[in-house]
Amino acid sequence: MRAGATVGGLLREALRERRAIAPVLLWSAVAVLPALVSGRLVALAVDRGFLDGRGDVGLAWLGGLGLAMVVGAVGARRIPPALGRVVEPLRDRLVRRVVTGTLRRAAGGGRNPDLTVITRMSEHTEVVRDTAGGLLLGLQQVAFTVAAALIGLAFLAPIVALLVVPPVLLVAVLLVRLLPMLVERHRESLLAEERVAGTVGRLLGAVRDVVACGAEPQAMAASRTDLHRQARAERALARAHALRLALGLAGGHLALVTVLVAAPWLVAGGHLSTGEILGTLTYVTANLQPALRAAVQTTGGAGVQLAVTLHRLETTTTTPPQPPPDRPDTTSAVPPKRRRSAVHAHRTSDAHAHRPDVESTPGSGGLPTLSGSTATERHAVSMGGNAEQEAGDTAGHGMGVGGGQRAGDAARHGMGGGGGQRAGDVAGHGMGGGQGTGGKAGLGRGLDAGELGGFRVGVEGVTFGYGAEPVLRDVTFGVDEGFHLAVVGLSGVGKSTLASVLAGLVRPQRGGVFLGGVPLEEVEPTWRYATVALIPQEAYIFTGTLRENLVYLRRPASSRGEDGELPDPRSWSGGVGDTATASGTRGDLGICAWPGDGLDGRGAGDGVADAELDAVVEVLGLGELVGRVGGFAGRIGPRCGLTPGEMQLIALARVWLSTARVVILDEATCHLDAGAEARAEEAFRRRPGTLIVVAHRLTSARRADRILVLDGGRAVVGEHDGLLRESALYADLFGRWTVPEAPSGKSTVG
Amino acid sequence: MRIVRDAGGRRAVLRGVWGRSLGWGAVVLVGATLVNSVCALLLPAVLAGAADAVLREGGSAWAAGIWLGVVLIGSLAGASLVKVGEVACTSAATLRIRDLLIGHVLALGLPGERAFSAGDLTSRVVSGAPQVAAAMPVLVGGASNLAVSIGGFVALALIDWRLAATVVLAVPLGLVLMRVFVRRASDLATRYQEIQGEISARMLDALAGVRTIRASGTWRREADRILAPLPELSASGRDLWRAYGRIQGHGTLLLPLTGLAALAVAGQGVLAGRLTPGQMLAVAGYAPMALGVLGQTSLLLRLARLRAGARRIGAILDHPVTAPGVRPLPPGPGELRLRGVTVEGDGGPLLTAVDLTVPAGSSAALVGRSGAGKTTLAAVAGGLLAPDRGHVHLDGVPIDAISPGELRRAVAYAFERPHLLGADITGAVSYGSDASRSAVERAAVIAGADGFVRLLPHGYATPLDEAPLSGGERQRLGLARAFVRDARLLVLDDATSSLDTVTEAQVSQALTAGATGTRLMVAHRASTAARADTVVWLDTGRVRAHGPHDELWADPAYRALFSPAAAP
Repeated sequence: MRAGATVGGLLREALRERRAIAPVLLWSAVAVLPALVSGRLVALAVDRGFLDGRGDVGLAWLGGLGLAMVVGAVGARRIPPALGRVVEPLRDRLVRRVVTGTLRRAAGGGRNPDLTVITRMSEHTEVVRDTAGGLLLGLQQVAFTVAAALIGLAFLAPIVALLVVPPVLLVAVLLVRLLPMLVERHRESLLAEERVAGTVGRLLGAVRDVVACGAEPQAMAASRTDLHRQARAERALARAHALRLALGLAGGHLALVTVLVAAPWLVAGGHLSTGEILGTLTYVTANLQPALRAAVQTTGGAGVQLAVTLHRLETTTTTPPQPPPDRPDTTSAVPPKRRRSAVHAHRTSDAHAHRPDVESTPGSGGLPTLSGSTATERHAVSMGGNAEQEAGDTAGHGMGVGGGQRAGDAARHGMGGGGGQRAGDVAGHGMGGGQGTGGKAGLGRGLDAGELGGFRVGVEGVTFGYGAEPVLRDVTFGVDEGFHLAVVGLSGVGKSTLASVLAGLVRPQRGGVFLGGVPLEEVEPTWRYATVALIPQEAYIFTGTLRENLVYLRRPASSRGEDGELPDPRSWSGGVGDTATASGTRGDLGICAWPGDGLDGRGAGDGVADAELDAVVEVLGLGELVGRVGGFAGRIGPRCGLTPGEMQLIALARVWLSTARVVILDEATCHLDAGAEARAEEAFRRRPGTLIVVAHRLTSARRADRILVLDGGRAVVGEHDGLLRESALYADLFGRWTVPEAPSGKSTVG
Repeated sequence: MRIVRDAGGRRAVLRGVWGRSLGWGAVVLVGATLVNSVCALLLPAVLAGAADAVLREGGSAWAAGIWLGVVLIGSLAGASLVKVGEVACTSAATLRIRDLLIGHVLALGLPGERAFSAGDLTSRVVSGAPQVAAAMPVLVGGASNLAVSIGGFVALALIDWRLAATVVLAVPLGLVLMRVFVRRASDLATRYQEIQGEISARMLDALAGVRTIRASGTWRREADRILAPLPELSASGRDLWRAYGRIQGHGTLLLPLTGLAALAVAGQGVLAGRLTPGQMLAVAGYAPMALGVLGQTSLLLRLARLRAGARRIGAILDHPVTAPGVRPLPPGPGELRLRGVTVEGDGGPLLTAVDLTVPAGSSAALVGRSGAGKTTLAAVAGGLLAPDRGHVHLDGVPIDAISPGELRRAVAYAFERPHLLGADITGAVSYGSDASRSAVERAAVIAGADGFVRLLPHGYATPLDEAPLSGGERQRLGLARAFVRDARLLVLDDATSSLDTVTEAQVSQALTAGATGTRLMVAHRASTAARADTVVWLDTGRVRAHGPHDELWADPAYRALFSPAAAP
């Protein structure tokens, strides 16, 4: 029933747009003209014309009906555009809500989001758009047609109208009462189908394991259970539909029979003429019956689907993901006391826990595809990606482009100026540093270390885990400012988790991370974002100019904080007029040029001098790439043919240009060749601040001042030679493993 | 020796759709459609008869009334049962096709997994099967629509040939109009989808880079970037509404106007005494029916889509399955022998003429650079993959001749990234075997999994989807799954790569101490290789050398395998 309420909310939301809804009502009234006059004109044509021996008069009345049809068609033509003005803004709002909600949740969560869920969600938005349009169109048509037929009937034969109303009402009431059952069955059927998709996906992804276990019969049996359940749910849904269909038809039939049964008396009593009987039957058979049938189909089809989809969309976008039992959620894992201060401090990252604006409105906006069945019941043309359309091409066109992102990003910190200025509060640190000037690094060390005590990274007794077993156990170490630490360990052992903990993306269950002696969660988030940079293995490149990608993390002194950041309205100016050219271009090049997208990439006030960009190109060896994409103004994107290595270089350059003083490279050079990797690491070593590298190749460990070996959640820190002696794993990794050594005193083996 | 069954994919799909076991669904569908169509065709005539009977002074309307009652009830029952029958047919056929596909994919095993990606297979089973399964309702519905259309036309002709002529004139005009507008609308819809796809793609891009966004706190900027195309989406959506309006206006006008023209012709008939007044009602009913043929263009489209769907599914079923062996495997110690084993890959041979004997009860480590053929050799050794040339013998019996059940009891596998299936932890470990709960726990202890399993909310009874498992934990459960089978040949395909040193040492100790079987393991770490009785060094699909680790260690090229540059 909650789902029903959701649809109600949507409709209310739609109806609130009075100014937009008025034209819809007006044109609907015009469109329904033929239904209003049809019976009357047929009656006149028969009585005054064909039965009266005056064919021309009969034809004239029918001609009048034809005229009404033309007028009606003009009205009908105006309805969809008018409806579009109601529905498109709703869709905009829904998409906005889904995108913002999803992104905020993903950005706040400790683990990476499930991409399939996300994909399904954008499908759901389209379903809402399709069905809401269909529903509104259908309902409007049904309501007006039924009203017109009954009014026409009332004028032509008031007694008949009285007789017809009760069956119609009865059917309407029954249909509404059956709706909850239909919604429920539809939901069950949808869930059963999703279950099948899940089971089949898991099974077919594990064919090797099934075969290796000789478990084919067991696997087949398990999948059959779900397949049968799905078939049962689908049949139950079909029975409910059939029942409603029968009901809708019965209503129309009942009305028809009522008229016919009453007709002899009406004719004998002189109440109605032959033409008037034909006229009433026209109202019933040509208008009322189809409208009832359409009512069943509209509410049972588009309506139910809309209700279920909205409900699902809402549950997926608004409730935070259920943390599996015992999995420490990133927020819940923090002890109560610290949690309060953390929530206070981490406005941005914790916002997902509150998400006030998402929860407050129950209904969501929805949009149109006109697949709804109409009173005429033919040729539903689908707009947008509904089922009729090949679903395939929606997802991944190879086009790119970014909304020309203004480099104008936030930061309330003044940067620039000489080093060591003091500012009052945590949020207002002056970061000094000759941008684009001094030193090879191009950035002077600027943060006022006074309050923070420098950029030493300290880890004390950190324990963190997603599952039953901690990934990190009581890890303690420190990296002094200006030092370079490499982290090595087997794959899947928790190196990335350690990187996330260091960057403050997840908070440990026990222990703490300190930045310059201050607990990380007490550092103001905006400031933390500007100071600590994590470059993950999967480089993030967005569609836009190379320049925009490079200056992404530069926060000009003049702009406001991230929270108050405004989008540049000019960032998307694609005109409808460009359509034809656009698709052509995209098809040919497969590329990054979405028409009229973005800025031209010429600086646009990002405050970063070309000289600085040139410097990073020089340091990291980006020259060839810059030339290939056409300079800093050249457009790039994740689907534009950059190699993974090039994407990593861009991500590295972006951080190199940033204000960050603690840089964490989490296998960020894994797609580079050994030479390029060495060059990149050297560039960051010479940059002021603290460097932590999760090593992809062991050669990169050799370059570090210190090496941290992570084994079974425990960390050992040392230098190469010492570790070869002290860490069995480190020795093993370097192939220096010699004598098999039984683990002493730890025999759990029975 | 290898018997190949020709699956005849397309035919198999058809059997799925039309199969004998279609049952009551098909009966209901065909019967109800028949009743529905007949009633639909009779209704206008019967209604006309009833109206005439009512209008005829003094005449009895009973006969006409009964007819009308029968037809109305018939059409009501027919229409609703059609819905039930359609779904019964579709769901039964969907189930059968999915079952057929899943069974076939499992029978194909590893080679199938190489030919089709799991995602592709899943989409064919999940969304492809229902499309194809709708064949029967599409055909039956299409045929009935066509029949009713023709019937309506014939009825008009029977009432008055002039009526039929009127309708015939309208049809071509209608077809042209529909075509033009539908095409224009579908261009616009494509544009709309492109923009929509762009938003989705940007969303996925951002999510792929979510760690960066999280680390730099820029999600608001990203939301704006993703939503940048929204105004154009809106504009494009409004264009679509306008296009739809035109279809509404023109398309729907044709039908009533044609009906009206037929009515005018009928009126002339009444005037001339050829037609009764009631027959005007019949004409009003038959004219739209006859024009229903206009809606049939979409049937061709649906049929084309059906054929494409059947081809997609047939392609899987056309992949031949190797006939399973039938020989029993006599008891034995587990001696493994490979002779001249060659496996061809897409880009050249994966294994070339590999000869290898692993004595019963010993352990052999497979080492080599990535791409050297270690995993392929491991798959061939346990019968997961049949070699293109050469033979694999287990205790003297050709492995492809052993019946699958016996083979799987004799050979156990553990993988680097095991996929765990089953309801809960116990089910995942005992998957495919009938191991008892205590055997499961014993195996978990040996695999070093017992400790963390006991920390799970419900211990061994924790449902898999509620158990958050790290890569290392999965690997250990995968090991337990192999250990529980007590097989004579154990193949470990890099199955301890994520274990920490202590756990790994414990596991291999326990294996050496407790296991009686033969072990073949893919190794990346020097320690693993050193623990094996013998090391098989693979290089580009050939055995480059074999012997104990200590002997091979003298070769600098061998040492380089484990050197920093080669390490992961």
